[in-house]
Amino acid sequence: MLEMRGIDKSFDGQRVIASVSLALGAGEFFSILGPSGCGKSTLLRILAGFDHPDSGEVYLAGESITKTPPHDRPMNMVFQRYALFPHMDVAENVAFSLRVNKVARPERLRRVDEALALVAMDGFGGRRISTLSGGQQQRVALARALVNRPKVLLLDEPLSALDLNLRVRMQTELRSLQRRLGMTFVFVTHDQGEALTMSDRIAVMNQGRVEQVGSPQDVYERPETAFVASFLGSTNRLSGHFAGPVDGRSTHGWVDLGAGTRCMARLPRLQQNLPLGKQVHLLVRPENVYLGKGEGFAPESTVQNSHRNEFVCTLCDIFYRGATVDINGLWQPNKSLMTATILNAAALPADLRVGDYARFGFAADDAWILNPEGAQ
Amino acid sequence: MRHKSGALAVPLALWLVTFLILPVLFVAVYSLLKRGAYGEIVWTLSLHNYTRAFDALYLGIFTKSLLLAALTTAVCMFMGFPLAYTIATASKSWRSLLLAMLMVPFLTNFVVRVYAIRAILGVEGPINSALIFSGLLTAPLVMTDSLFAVAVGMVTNYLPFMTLPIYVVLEGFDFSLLEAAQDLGARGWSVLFKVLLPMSRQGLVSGAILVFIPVLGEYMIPDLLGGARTMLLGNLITEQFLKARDWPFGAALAMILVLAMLGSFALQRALVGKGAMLVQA
Repeated sequence: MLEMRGIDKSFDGQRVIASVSLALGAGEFFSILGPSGCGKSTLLRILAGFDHPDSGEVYLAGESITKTPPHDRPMNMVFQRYALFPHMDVAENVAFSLRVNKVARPERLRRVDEALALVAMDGFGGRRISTLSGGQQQRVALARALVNRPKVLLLDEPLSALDLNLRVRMQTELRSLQRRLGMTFVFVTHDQGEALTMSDRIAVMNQGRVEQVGSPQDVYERPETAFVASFLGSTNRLSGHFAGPVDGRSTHGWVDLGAGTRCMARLPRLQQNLPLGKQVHLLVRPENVYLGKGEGFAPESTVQNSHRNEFVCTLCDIFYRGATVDINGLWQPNKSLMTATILNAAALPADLRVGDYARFGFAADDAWILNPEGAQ
Repeated sequence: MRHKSGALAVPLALWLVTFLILPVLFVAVYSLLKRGAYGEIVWTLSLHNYTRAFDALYLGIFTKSLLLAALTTAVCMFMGFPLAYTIATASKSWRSLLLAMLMVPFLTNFVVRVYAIRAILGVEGPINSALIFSGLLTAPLVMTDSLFAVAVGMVTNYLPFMTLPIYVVLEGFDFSLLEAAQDLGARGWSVLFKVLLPMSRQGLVSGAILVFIPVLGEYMIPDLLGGARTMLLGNLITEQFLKARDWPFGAALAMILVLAMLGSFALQRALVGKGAMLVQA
């Protein structure tokens, strides 16, 4: 429904967006995720019409809107700091787009009430903007953007100014609002947790490029590039050399970590042409690392029917985090640090001490091999 | 430690009482007295000077002065707003350069600046020379010693006083509000009249006061650029004191001017809301 083809954009010779192509479906909650300066906000501004691409086209429902000015695009934006008009009250703010579009007064009043009800701000119409809390301003900004029933709602890090509790509540509300309206949302954020919780699909951006597009499960569990793997959640990264694919399967490969230790891990689709002996990273999420005490301890893995990689490390830190416990171990042969996040702290041996030996392990299906120089 | 700050205000209070409040009181008292046959002060109380100020002759001067002040204010606003907007939206290095350029005239003596305008508008000045050279005119246009020249002088001199308060407001302006307005469907003029101008009201009103009031009482510019025929309120008052030697009448005119200024302050308060400062950053 909304499509970008080959978008390029430079500011002062600095390339901020490099050949980005994305296609969004109708009614999709689509997130653009990336660190600050990755070009995600510029991409959103190009969608809104505030910035113009150097090359490439934007299509809405099959028609090019690349040269359409912002006021003629059937899209509305929720700004990062809301951009509410301080000289107008809540109702006047919400009514702004109806007023400039010459919607008759009775209709206008009805739709303002409707929009305020949608964001649970009924009865706030006469309030000044300066008397509202951050969360309330956020809702008014949403109502103002929704009142004109846009085809696409653009959201530029709208939750970043809220405190943690409110942010979590607004995530749920935004998501359910989007479901109820069936509207396409384009949500820009640098918060990976936010993107994972709310989105149907996520585009992960880095240095002006889209590194991966996929469902939250795709990008989290099957990252295609080293950047995506490290940006979404924390990962253990072990350096080693590619030791070839596992017999008869192109989906898994071996990594030689040195000292005679080989680990099996999945080979992502984009990494299947790795040359033998190539320096690679083996990545595994801390929550997929299990732990047993002592060298002879046989741990229970949750992953069945998968090859297990195990090696003995020296415990160097134990961090109690409430719901979870993080345990860091050092694998002496190549000084690699492994972190295991244990979800069930009660299952840990009680007498675990820093300096003990412990067996760290992970299933081959939970780990993957990436070329640190990017996808081939 | 916090000290009561009252004592710190004493020097300023003394200064203001000595050089502002007392003189104004003197003027107020003089305005109620009479002029003797040789220009001396006669100590009889009367409102005669005030009734005389409403003679058709003086009413005409009042009206002309008010209209000129209003026109100057309007032209300054019309030019000052885009100027302030340009400065406020310029890059950092350009911004300080433009602000410096706006201030440069103040480094030159006021009288010299006014004479420069006289030279520029003059019969052999660059404007006439250019018009004759291009063939648009055969004989030079006489622009000096006219109300027009006075207006040019007023605008030139007072433009920074309009521009700076507007700039102060625009400098702190959140320009994403303009994008929000566009995003919500507002076109150029709509963005200007519904968002930018209403939100710059404070600067516009402050600028208007800073231009309107001094222009209303200005006597140097009309004196130097207006010639003998252009009589404005400022010159009228000066004339009463220096030439006509009618101090009581001059004092009455001055009091009327003071009241007009207080009136426009009241108007400002009404326009920008209670407790508003002259310029609020």
